[in-house]
Amino acid sequence: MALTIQDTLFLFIQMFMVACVWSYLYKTDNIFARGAAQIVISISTVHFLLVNINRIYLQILVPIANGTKIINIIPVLCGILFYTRLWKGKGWIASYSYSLSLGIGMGSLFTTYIASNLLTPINRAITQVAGAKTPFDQASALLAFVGTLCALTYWLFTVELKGPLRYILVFGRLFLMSSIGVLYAQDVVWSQSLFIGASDKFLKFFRMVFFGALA
Amino acid sequence: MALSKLGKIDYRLIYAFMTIITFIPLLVPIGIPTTVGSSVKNYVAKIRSYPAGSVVLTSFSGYITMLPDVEPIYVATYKLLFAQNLKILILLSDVDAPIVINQVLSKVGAAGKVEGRDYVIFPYMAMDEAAHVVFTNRIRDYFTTDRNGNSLDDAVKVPMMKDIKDYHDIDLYVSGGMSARYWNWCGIPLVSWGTGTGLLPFVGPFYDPERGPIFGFVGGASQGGELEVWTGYLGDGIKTNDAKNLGIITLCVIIIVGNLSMLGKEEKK
Repeated sequence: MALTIQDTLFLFIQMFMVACVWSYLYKTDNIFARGAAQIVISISTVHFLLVNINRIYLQILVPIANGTKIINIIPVLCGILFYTRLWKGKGWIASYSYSLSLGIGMGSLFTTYIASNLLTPINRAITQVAGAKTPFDQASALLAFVGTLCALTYWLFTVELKGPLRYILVFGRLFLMSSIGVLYAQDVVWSQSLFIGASDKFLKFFRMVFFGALA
Repeated sequence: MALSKLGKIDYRLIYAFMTIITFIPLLVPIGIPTTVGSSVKNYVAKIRSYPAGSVVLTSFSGYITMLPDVEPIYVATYKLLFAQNLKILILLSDVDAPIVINQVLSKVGAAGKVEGRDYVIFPYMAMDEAAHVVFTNRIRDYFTTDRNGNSLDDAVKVPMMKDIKDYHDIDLYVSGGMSARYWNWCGIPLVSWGTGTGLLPFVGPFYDPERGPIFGFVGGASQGGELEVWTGYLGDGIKTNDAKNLGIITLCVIIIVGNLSMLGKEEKK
């Protein structure tokens, strides 16, 4: 596979940027790491801005202009009102936009949240015990059910559990700590994947430029 | 005494050691065996259970910084969906997604598949919860065009959208971690994909391979490698699995050494 000058330049920039970020590990405050961070931040900001301007143009302004969705004027006006925060004494006007977007956001959140994040897990915790087929699944479902109840009890601050009842709190805390441990482990594995991805980009430059191969 | 000295190792040496350990399997694959988990097998089985022509919505939140963790999953899944001749809707739910989707589809190499006829890519969807609620009820209330600016009602350029109006017309949803929640109430079968941290903590309460709503899931690059093995679409996931496994084993050793050095310090006191 022949490399063009453009490909080589792209691979070099990729490799150089990865090396700049890694230089942070050797010395935290250095010009290469700071430069790479500033480049990424500035490019991301411009990209975010352009994608959203393009979206507003195509999905909101064009339908208004061709008369297919005149109602889009309302969100446009609400959006413009946000910028009244920039004028001293007129910032209160933006509160209408904040209230509207917050109200709609909360309304739509609860539509899905109660059905999915509240009822489904409670339903699952109860029915899993009855629906489990093998003894191992039954034991697992029962443990999850008891663990869920104990973990919920951990957040009960109105009544102080004393005597033997305090073991419910201890068990609940163990359950919470186990789940946090799993979350942390997943985070480590995820970071490892990103590091390997960056390493692969780093090596790709040498493989392609000096050995002319991608494999 | 010797244990306490372990804690004095220069952290830069540990970074250098980790880098070498990661580089070796990338240069010379070791071939550590990959075991495919049941959630991955169920994910593939669910997709394969749909006949050609079924409509599948995919939530594509491919942001560039997370790509090494999810790209193998995206590529293998789209290869699988195209091979099944399913009608694919692609929802771009992250600001980077309009660029990243092109990179992913170029790796998929969907020869003979035509945008508008076999798959439709919607423009970038801002906002999550509220936008998904509108989208599920009436797709055209949120999007009037595809990403190329063609009207969704244009029977020539976007014929696939002719009979697709709302969630009733979607047979399967390949959801991200959080967006599974937005769609659960619709009753559409779900399979989930995403990063390890963005998906795995959320799918537990919803995952049931027999009753759903989530029938299978693939999260993170490790499971991405498993997906490649199970579907036969080998790619970057399996190529980097050796480095991942070796890196994690090394990390575990470093954690144990770190704890031993703390024990050494305690003894010294």
